[in-house]
Amino acid sequence: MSTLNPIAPGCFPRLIFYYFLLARRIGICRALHAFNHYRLWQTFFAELGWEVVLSSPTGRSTVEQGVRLAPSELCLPVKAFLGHVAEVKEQVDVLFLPRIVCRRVAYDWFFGCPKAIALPDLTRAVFDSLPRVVEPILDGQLQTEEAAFRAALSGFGRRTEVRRAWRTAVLAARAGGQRTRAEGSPLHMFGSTAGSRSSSGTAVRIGVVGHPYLLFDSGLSLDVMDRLREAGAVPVVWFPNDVEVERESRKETALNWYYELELLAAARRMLEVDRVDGLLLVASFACGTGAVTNEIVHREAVHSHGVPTVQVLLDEHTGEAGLITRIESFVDMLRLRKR
Amino acid sequence: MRIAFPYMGSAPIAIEGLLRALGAEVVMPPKPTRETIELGSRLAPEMMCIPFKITLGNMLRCLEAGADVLAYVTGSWSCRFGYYGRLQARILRDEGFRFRLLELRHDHIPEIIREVRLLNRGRTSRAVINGLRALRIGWLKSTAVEEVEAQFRRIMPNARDPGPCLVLLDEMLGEVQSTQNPTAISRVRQSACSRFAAMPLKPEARTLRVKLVGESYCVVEPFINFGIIARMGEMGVMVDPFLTSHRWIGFHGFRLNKDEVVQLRRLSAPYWRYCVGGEDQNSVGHLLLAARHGYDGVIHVHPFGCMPGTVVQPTMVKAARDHDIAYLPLSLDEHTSEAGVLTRLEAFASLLEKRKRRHAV
Repeated sequence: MSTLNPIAPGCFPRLIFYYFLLARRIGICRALHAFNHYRLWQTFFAELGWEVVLSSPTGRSTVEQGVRLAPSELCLPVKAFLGHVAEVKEQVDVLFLPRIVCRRVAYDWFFGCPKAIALPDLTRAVFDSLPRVVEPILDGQLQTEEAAFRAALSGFGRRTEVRRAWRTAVLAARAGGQRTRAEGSPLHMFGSTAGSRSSSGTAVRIGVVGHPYLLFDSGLSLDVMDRLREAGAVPVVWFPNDVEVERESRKETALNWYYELELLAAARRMLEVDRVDGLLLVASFACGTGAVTNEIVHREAVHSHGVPTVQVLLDEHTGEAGLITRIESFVDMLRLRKR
Repeated sequence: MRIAFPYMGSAPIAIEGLLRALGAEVVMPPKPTRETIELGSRLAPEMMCIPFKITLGNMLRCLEAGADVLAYVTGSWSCRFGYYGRLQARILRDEGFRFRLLELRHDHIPEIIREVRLLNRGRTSRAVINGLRALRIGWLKSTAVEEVEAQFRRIMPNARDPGPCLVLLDEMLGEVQSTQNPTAISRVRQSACSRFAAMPLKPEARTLRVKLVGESYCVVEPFINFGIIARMGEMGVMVDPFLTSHRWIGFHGFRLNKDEVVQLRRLSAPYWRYCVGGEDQNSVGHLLLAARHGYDGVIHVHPFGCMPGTVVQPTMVKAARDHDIAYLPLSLDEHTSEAGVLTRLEAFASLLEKRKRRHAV
């Protein structure tokens, strides 16, 4: 024990050595882009020997906490994210705050939304005290993703293991992506099972277009998919693969936001291949990118395919009753139309 | 070719001069009114930011007036501003208008040069001469407008009567707009200082200084920010916008003045690492600069739902608290009432007054 005594002479370098060997607890928020990349992040940190703490599913209290902290004009998912940070930051000694800036698809750069880029700055401004932060800057113009993670970990020691951990994580993420596409839900990443996907031939099929972090977070979306099933419709979701996203990026209507490009590709697939009867566009109130995407999808669906659309905007005041009424009337309208 | 472009502050004066010198026929966008907003809001997506709605209404008016080419600054980055051109063109085409969309972006430069040559009937030498002349006139007009507005901002808070100041401003801007003669434009610029200095002043001249930061359109366009500069001037507060239409054309359009960008980036680094658009980094940087230069307060304007504008708010609050400077955020959209904004401005002005007295003691 004497070696750990901080007053003993000559123990300071040894203390530093022990500090880097300590297993760390890293907190990841179950919000925003965790719904796309959690498998990657979790595998990576687990491979490094860190303990990954995932915040609990979004509940009423998470949202309320976030609403109290955030400026009122921010969108619901970001407010919920701040609620998750408030919950998880007490339990961990490192917090994971990615900065998603841009990545390359085909020949062009595709960006994250401004809120995703500024997320670490926002979090630092909102909270007075935070644990140490791992902040990979995922900017393809600057560095590869692996280099970003390596740089973010530079203060934590154990550099040599990053490459091996990264390779394992990428493989796990690829497998996770395939499972997401097969199941039509990213929730398997968090260890929960997806609902059954039964489809009968005559039922109305409704394509649902929205960010995974909104659609599959039942605390935010008020279970919009289950509401569709209850109303007697079959919800159709689609997770585009790299080829589809790349094809979409060459189109004239392409948007230079990566996650919106995915939504456009999904909507195109639903309209052209799945031939859905209607489109439900789900976005959060004050979602800036959603305003553009939904307008483009709406014009494409109505003018080129003759498919009706309805837009649902979610915020912390959205009532369940209002949502159910709108969905039921939309489904009824589509049923009449089909007949 | 009858060309039209979105309206913003007094920028159209210089841009119109430039285009006319190039040989294009310009459909001057009408000044925005309540009706423009309503027209734009009817067609635009509901959650779109207010500059989009106003410029959409404006372009509709220009098309009705017979424009057949729409020129937009577009691009692809994180802010929605880069998509204005494409999305508005789509909406207007669905409305049944026929026109050509001219995207002004760095990878379209050959197309722009071709356009200029076409204007001069394909003769390169004439295009070059006219192009240089156009740049000169645009630059002269822009600097003249800048000088007139700077004098206005300086004199207005101290003037005994604000009315004549506003009249003189309109008159001088009209003079710049109506002439294409370089010497006449220079004469207006040179006379600005003396003509404003002739205004009768208040006996005691103790003014408060406020920095105006935020999203470019909201800072530059007096219609959407309810003429914040003139209104605060009437209350005896000098408002110094970090961006004017002249700086928007020169500083942002051609990326002059790199030193300042570097300085602002260095200043704002502890608070804000990445510029995501909407002038967020500049706003943080200018807030810190204002605190350093002894301004009394900072007003931050942004359109409701502006992504960078809202996400930067907690940072601005924190920076203002750290550097002890008064801070007022204003979110503007088509439903913002003038009375509400005025009340907040008056309260802010009296707060500044009180702070100044407390610091003086």
